[in-house]
Amino acid sequence: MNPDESAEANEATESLETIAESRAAMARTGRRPAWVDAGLAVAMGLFVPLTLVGGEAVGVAPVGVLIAGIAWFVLGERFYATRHGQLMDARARGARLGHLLPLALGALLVALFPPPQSWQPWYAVLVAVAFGAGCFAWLRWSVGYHVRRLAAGDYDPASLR
Amino acid sequence: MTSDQPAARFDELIHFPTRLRIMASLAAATEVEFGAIEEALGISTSLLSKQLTVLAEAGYLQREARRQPIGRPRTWLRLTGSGRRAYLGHVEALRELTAGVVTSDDPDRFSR
Repeated sequence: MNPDESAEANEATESLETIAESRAAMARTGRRPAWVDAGLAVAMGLFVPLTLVGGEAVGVAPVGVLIAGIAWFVLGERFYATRHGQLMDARARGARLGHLLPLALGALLVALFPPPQSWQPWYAVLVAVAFGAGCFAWLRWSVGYHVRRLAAGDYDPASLR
Repeated sequence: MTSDQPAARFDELIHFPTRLRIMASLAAATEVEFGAIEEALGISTSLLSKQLTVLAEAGYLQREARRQPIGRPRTWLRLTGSGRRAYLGHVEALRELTAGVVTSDDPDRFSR
């Protein structure tokens, strides 16, 4: 490789690095904001202990809380996307449902094993905090994974929306 | 990337640093709001507008002003089909250059 070719190769390498940095910056800017995930995590954190308590005292509150949380998540994401744009390819759309499934299974698992009444209300408080925090951490991890993948250029341009 | 890669084609218009950053950002999305690109790349509004105009005049991107329920209309940007092909071809040309496959003496590889 002669000096000219070497200079061109160096410039091309710098340009490729610029491309990678710009793509990563865009992926970070377009990621789902934490307040959207926080709303769903709070709803999930309340849903499980309310379901465990059950009875006439809470009525249909668990279902109401769950619907409110899901509505917050869907509308919040939509609100953000219509104002900033959103980086989402077919894999990310498919993975979204897959990433929410463990939350539903976790809630079901906890609800299947109601504790003795003497453990309440501390058990319900503990479950609410642990499950809410776990949901939030899981949702943020899924966002981070999605951002890392797009930033690395691991996407199909034809499937972007 | 998994879709068909266009042939390597160095594009002087895209290669300008600011325009390259804009194209790289837009290539990772279907459409992006003007403010999001401004925030992501840390480019001034005037410089961004100027370079977007150059890219739009070349037919590489589309700009669309959309009304909002509240506030001023927002400008959305998206790469056109020819813009995406030109960008991917340019990236491929850069990769080949790093591998020492082509040089600027190869005129067929250069456009604009």
